[in-house]
Amino acid sequence: MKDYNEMASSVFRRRDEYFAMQKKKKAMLVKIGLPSAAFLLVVLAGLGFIFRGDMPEIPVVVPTPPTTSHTEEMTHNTLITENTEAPSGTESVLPTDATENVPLPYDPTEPPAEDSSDSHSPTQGPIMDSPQSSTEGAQPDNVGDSTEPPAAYPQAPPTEEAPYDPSIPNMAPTGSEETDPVATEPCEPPSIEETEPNTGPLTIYAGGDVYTAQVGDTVSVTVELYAKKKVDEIELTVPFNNDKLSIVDLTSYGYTFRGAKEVWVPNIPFDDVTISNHSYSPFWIKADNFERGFDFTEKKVLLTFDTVVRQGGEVYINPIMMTLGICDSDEYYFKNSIQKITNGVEIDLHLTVTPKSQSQRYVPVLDYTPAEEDGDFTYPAESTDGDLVIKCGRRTYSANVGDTIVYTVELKAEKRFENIQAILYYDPDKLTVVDRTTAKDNWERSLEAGEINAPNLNGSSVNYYYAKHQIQGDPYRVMLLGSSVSPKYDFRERTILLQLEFVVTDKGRMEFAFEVQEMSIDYPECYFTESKQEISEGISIYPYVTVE
Amino acid sequence: MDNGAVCYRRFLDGDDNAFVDIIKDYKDGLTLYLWGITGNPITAEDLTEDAFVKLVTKKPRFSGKSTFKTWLYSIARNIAYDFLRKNPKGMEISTEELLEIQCSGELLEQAYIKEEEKIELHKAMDTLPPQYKQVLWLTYFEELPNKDVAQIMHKSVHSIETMLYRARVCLREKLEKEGFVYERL
Repeated sequence: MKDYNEMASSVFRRRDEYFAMQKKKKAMLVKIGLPSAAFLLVVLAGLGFIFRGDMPEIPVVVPTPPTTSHTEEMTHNTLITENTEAPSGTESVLPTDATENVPLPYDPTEPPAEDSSDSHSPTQGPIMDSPQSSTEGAQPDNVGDSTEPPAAYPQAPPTEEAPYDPSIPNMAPTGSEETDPVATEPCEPPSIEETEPNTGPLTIYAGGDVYTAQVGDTVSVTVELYAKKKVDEIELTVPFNNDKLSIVDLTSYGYTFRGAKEVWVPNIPFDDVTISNHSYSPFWIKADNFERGFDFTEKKVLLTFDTVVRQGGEVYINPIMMTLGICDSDEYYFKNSIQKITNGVEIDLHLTVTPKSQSQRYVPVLDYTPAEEDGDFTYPAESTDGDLVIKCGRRTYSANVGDTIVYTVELKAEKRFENIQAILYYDPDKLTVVDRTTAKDNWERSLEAGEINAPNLNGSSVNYYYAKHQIQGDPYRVMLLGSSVSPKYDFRERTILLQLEFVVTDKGRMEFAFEVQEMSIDYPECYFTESKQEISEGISIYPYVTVE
Repeated sequence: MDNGAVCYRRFLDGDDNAFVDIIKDYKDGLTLYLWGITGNPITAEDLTEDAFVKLVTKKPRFSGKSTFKTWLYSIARNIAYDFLRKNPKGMEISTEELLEIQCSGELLEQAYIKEEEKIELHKAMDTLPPQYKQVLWLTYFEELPNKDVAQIMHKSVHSIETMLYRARVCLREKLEKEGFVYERL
């Protein structure tokens, strides 16, 4: 075993070797890159001279705002080249010498074609910008800011540009390791200098489509992936301007736990994925599993997140697939942000704009389905004619401003369990908890305080946490924690787990989400752990609302 | 600011000796913690060094939301799990290496843990499941509060409390069979 001096020497020696290698790589890039760039310029100038006056007219399609309503989903199209027909309403770009490497555009009306080894499918194509896009000039908003820490974080002295490392919590990505100098970055014109917040509309350029949203609207972003072969390594970043769009932030943790779901990666196991800087862009997701890989042989959601429009102007959203490795192989669909294989891979970007008037406060996607009615249980009658429309589990209820409503969760579980940790999410702009205490701060309180009625949690440690005063980054929620190892909680007959009273304070729409984070039967056997349902048989959860 | 955070700040300002202090303060505990995860003290030492190399090369921001120790242990844990994912079968070792590993482990135990009683406890933990070993190590040997343990292990506080309870029960049964009593359990 080394002593600390030996280890320190080894650590610094490896550091010096690392920086020496980085410098060598940079020198190589300059050595190769500059003459290549100069050569390219000469060739382009020469071609321009030869073809001057003979250049065929390339139709430039002026992007128009979508004619459909804001709530209608629009599908991304890939870059267009001179060899393809562009679907109407999309941008086209002038052809360059690199067109042979650019896949043909994605046609949303046609199903994905069969993979062919020699030719590009006309219906497949990634979002990934090809190298020529980087010659268009301007850098996208905020990607260049990725080396600048956000103001809330302590400012470290200038450092060597450090590659992103997902094993380090709270690390802001500063760039990609071994990034090729012509690696793709989404290009967009420089953002307009503004001296005060722009309250006008926000124009969103996402892939080849253009969207318009107003301040306060919700913009949902979904990236879907299809890969003909299973993949074992994914690294993706989605840069955009945080001044214009802010990710809906639910927690103050550095890592996104499954319960947070700001950036939701639904088709990759939680343990295999790391998401850093989830609450602002650019955030990164990195996932790998070299044993089993990930199955995207049918197109499915890779990641999704919601943003809220903060300012008007312009913003670009373009996911950058940095790494997409093929399972059981040394090959990559994407490596160092460059597409290596074009056939058999497809990345789609979908945006949905929901006007503020129809928006509702974000709630986590639950990992269980509330119980259906059975002969033994009937939910209260639904209604939608009140001031406030409340979605709760499988039902929709409504109430008027000033009404008192009671939120109830009943539970039936075949096995007794020894602890429960759950969070109830709601919209504090629409509902206020009926407050029966005089506590001024957020303290953990016993059931005797009175806000929560949990008559069947009679264990040794039951308390709850109610964010009576909003803490920055802390979502409005009620957290319930209960632990009773001996005797365990007995819900073998359906009975009330908890009840909470609220007063309706505003009109609109909202949703209750009762997220069960932990429910341990006899560790490691759990109904729920880390918000994921491990056992679905023999457990039924019945959330509902009654209006008093 | 705790001592580790102060040293790290000094290191970021250009003082390499401050990082030597960090290594001196955290190396042994971190190695023992990673030993619990990997099952091999040699691998644990290599991964400990990898964790320190990551800090000196990438200089990530320490936000101060947790203690420096919690943050460092989180980084090291992720490195260990990355290693285990890529090397699921672990390292193949010869009989000679096995003996060396055993001796190295004992020396490390004696150097870091110091108290005989705790050394016996640590040995008894060896047969427990990895999650139990981790939670007991962080709670009793690193003396971290449950909140920090939860952050390192990516669990809720209540999960940690439940796990700790069950780990203590398992360990107590094992120790009692061997005629050993550890008051703190």
